[in-house]
Amino acid sequence: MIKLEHVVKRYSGERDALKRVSLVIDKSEMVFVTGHSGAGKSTLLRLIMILERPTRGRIAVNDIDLKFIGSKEIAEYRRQIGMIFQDHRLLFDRSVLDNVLLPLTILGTDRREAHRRARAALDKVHLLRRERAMPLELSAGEQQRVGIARAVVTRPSILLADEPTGNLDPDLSREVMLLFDEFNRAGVTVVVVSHNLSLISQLDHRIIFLKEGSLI
Amino acid sequence: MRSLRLGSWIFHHRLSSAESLSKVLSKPFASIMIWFLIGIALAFPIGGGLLFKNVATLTNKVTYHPSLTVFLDEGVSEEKGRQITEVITKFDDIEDVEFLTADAALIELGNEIGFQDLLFELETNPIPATLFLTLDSHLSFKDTEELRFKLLAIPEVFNVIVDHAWLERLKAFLAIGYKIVLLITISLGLASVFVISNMVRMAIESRREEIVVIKLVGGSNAFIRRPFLYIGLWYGFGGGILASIQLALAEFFLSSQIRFLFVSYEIDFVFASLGAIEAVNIAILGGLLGIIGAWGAAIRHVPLIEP
Ligand SMILES: Nc1ncnc2c1ncn2[C@@H]1O[C@H](COP(=O)(O)OP(=O)(O)O)[C@@H](O)[C@H]1O
Ligand SMILES: [Mg+2]
Repeated sequence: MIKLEHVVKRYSGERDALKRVSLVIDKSEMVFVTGHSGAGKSTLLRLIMILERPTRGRIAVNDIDLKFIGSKEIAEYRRQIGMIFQDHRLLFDRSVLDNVLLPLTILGTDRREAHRRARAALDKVHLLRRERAMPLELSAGEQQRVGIARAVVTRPSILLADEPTGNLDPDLSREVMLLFDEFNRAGVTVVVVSHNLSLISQLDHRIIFLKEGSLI
Repeated sequence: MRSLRLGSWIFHHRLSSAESLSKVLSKPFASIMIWFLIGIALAFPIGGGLLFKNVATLTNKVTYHPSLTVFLDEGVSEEKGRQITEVITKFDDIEDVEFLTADAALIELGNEIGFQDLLFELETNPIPATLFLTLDSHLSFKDTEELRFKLLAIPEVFNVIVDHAWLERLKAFLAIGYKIVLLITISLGLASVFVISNMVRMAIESRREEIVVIKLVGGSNAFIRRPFLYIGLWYGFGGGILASIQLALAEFFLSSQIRFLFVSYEIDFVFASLGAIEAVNIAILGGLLGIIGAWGAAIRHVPLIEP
């Protein structure tokens, strides 16, 4: 469960990126977050990921108040969340398989088991035959799918995706959204940021609208 | 489960060390520069230490013609003094023993320092009966010391003075030399740590993006530090190996010449040299310095990189 209470985020400057946002996303729920550019969608995910700290208000994830997670515990906290970035954030000097193995290496998963799970995750995004490829040999869509495989390989309880279909054609975008839907059906809490309203309205999930930092 | 974790932990160390080694080797020019620097930084003090060790053994081996003065206890009779003279004359290496009674010794001393009048003013004679020893061969410092202890073991002997002022001066000089080598050692050691620290800091900076990604997927600072510590290890270890090679080469070129010199002076002398175990120790020492330097950089700079 993700719970925000009167969350305000002000970077520098006068305007608040988020203005007293209160919101509950239930365990095993899937929601879409949409809104114009600059509405605060990425900020919302960054706060949940503790990439930023709120200026005011309270955020709790799985009943843990994030303000009690100190800098030493952040790494461990992040391991229970899978995050997918619009710009993929892959390691370009490592193979596709090694990229997907990374979170398992961090967890200290047994090597054979890690390989098995990384391959299974790659298979899920239809990239198993490219496991030896380097990320730059892949198309944008394929890179995005490597990012998804990396995010789900540890079977996190929460999945956050920031504009995951930004670079994908409509067919692929739909396929990716269905993939998230499938993870959700397996019990994962999923938060997907997207401004592709026509795409997300095809799926039967709650849609959160953000406008200039406020919920509407 | 625990053993699984341990296995994967070991695996990650092996992976980190191998990756770090290939990163170090992928920049051969910079790496060779660093190895040379650390090599010199390690070779200098170790070479200096070896040199001093050699000089120290040398001072025990160089033979010279010491003169020994044996002071007897106060109140030893002339009769007893002559008996002791007989005994000492039979010692090895002793060519001649001159016995002076306390009075004669006082006159001798007076003549020598030119205060006869003053000395005769004294109510009691402060000088004990004295023996001057002439040795029949050149003795080494060590042999002379042994002779001194042998003489001191005679109950009536109060003190034995060996005149080896030049040796004392050499020892004082060596003591200063040791301190200088120690100082340079510390400076060079610090310089090595600093250089490695700086290289690792640059390596961390150049992999900022990668570190950000690892942090995004939950990698801890300790996890991220690991490969950088190995980079430090490889720099230091390589430097240590190079130091051993430098020392072996220096020894190879110097020892034959030094030996030649000693042979011409008929000095039997074995050059204290670097063994295989020392070479391994130097490499390990280099590796340790490397890890310390890398640790210093990683502990400060890895946490500063935030997603
Ligand atoms: N690191 C930052 N520093 C300052 N301002 C920021 C930063 N990140 C985002 N902002 C500002 O916060 C607002 C919301 O940004 P963001 O959450 O990225 O919006 P969205 O993802 O909906 O496009 C924008 O006005 C943006 O300029
Ligand atoms: Mg955004």
